[in-house]
Amino acid sequence: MSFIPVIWMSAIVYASMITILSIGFTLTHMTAKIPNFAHGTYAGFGVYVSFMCVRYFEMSPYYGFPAAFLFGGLMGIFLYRIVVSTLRRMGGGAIVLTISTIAIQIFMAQFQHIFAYLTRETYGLMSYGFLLKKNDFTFEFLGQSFQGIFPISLFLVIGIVISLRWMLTKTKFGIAMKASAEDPELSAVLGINIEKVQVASWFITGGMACLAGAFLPMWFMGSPGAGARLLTSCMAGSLLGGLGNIYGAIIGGFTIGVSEIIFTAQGMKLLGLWVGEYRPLIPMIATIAILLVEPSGVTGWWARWRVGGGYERLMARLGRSKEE
Amino acid sequence: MDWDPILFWVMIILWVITPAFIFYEEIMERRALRKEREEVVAQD
Amino acid sequence: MIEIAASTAVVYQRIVIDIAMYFGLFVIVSMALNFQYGNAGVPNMGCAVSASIGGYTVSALITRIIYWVGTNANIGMKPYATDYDWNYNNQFNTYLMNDYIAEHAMFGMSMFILSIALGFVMGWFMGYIISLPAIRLRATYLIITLITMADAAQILGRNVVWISGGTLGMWVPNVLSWYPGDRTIITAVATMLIGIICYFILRTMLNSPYGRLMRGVRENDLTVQSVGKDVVAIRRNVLMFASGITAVVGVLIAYYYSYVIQSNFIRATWTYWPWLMLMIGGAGNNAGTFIGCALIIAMRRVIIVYKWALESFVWYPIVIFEQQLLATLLLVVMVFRPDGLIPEKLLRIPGIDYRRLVHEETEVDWRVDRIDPSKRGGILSRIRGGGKKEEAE
Repeated sequence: MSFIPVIWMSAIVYASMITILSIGFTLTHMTAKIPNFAHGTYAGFGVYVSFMCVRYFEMSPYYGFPAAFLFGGLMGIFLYRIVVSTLRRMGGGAIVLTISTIAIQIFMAQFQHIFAYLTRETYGLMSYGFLLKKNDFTFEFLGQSFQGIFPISLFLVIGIVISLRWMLTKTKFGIAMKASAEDPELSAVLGINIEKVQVASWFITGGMACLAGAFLPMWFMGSPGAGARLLTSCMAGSLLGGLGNIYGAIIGGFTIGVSEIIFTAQGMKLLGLWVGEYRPLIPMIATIAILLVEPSGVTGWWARWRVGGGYERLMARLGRSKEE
Repeated sequence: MDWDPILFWVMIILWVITPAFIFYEEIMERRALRKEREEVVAQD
Repeated sequence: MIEIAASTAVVYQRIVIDIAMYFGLFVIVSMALNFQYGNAGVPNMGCAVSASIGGYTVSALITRIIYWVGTNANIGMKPYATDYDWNYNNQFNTYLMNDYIAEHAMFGMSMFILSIALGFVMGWFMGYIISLPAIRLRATYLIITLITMADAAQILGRNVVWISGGTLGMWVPNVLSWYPGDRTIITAVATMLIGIICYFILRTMLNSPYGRLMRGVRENDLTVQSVGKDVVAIRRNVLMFASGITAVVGVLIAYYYSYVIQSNFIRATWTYWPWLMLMIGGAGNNAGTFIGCALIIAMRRVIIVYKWALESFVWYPIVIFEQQLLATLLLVVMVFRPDGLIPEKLLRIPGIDYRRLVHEETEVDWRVDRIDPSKRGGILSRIRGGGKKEEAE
């Protein structure tokens, strides 16, 4: 008896991964004003951190999660210091910075290939396609056995959202981050250290993305290109949510992640096995549809509804029905 | 008759002519622009 | 000794033809990219899909026309209606049609011209499709959309069999088989001729009021719009035209290999390398594009020829090293010399009386954000140590 079908568990693990990536993408776009095409490669590095943890150090992959977070954060700081901050100081515009992130993505993705190649040659480990499902713990609940990553990924997402909300609204540093995202010059006048805020935001987003990649190989197959493949879904999730709002990124990421897996599965059942090859088309169609219909995503639609008085009308309708 | 060597040398000639022409045009344009700019500056 | 000399003579020719062909192809692609990004400010990260449309035109449309003619000529063609037959009988049919075209030279020539024309039209149409979602939006959204659509088109090309044989690829009849010698040489000559024609076409478009309009759209599209020009339509037209030219390149490479498969047109080769050529040579003028193209192709061929020596020096596969070189060069060029080797200059349009125009600052700094044109010139002079000096207050 299984009251949660495996496909839904798979969808939720994938969706939590995409949500964490989308939150990072949106956060980078809010603070640095550019789409960071290298976001998927952080996840790729997380994949290999998990791989090293299990196959080389022979520990449970969960010990690799904090290491992945630190590694991703350090890599984010490194990239910011070396590339983005230099270009911005020399007066780079949006297009130049975007192209530089594309170049970083190409460069970093090759390191994963090199790492896979070296591990295979030197240690004989199977690094070009691996699955770490057996190293995960399982538990029984109401008669169905679950793999450990299914609730852990959900808790991770919820934990990240709660801690981000606490940081951005209750701590001084988080409020400084939001302020510098909105208006850097005014924040600098008020005494906020913009450089520190930017470094912190790149640390957080890099760490989060690497964390998302760290639990990828526990359900899906890990390979050198796995991180870059996640980028399209991550961008679709961020665009759906609107590139300026973190809660939008959560909604967008979950929607895109769940719909990608569920639509593919249903399509394969209804139309035949060939639908499986077209799975990357789902986030792409979503991106194009969003940009055609509502370029600001869910956030823009919600803002328009709020500004247009929708909230008042909804309250009035509810109020009226309460009176009757 | 064997057309291959003929075409080979045609290709080499084209390969030489194309950049020569591109650079010739570019230098002519820059020279003309500089001349006109000096006219403008001299007029002020 | 004579055999070795003869074999090296053949090899020497093959490398030269190969380099000339690739050079011709990438010069056309880079010039088209320069036309879009260097002059009109439309960052097209989807050139790979335009090139692939040219290849698919040859493999899907022209091949079917040729096969239809062959079926009517009753030379023993095998059926090709279903997907399976399309892949399985492809080689045999192509072999038959090559012999047929060898006898009917006019048919082959007309097919060649038709394929170039049809490739241009399909590229034009594809440019319209990829510009539909995002041409009105800002540059970063445009880049995201174009990369996304390029990926989507690649997935379609890989899986739909009737386009180009899916993952197996398909052979394309050699429409130049009436030529008694080597097919690759005449394709290389045709490519260079088309390259020269493209150069003339693009140069005429640039040194004209339309070129000035494109520069205006790049610099300050709000002003251009307030004068009454439709900025969105101009950018879309530029994208469509350059997409058509890139599709012609796809047609030529299909005839060079006589084989079309989706993995010939991957994004790294057809989008990132042309962008690198553009940035190194200097966006905005044709000579710079040409130099960038020559340098990059020379570098790539040197890497391929000296692969074994490099592999002992670099301990991982060379293909990884090449990609790292691409990324590093892109970053280095953007940080240290964003103008490229040959910086941009004002457009020379015969007929404009430059004396009556307001004298404008022609030092273009690609790094400054387009939204604030008043910042242009100051940073450049601060870095280069000359020109106008702005005192810090």
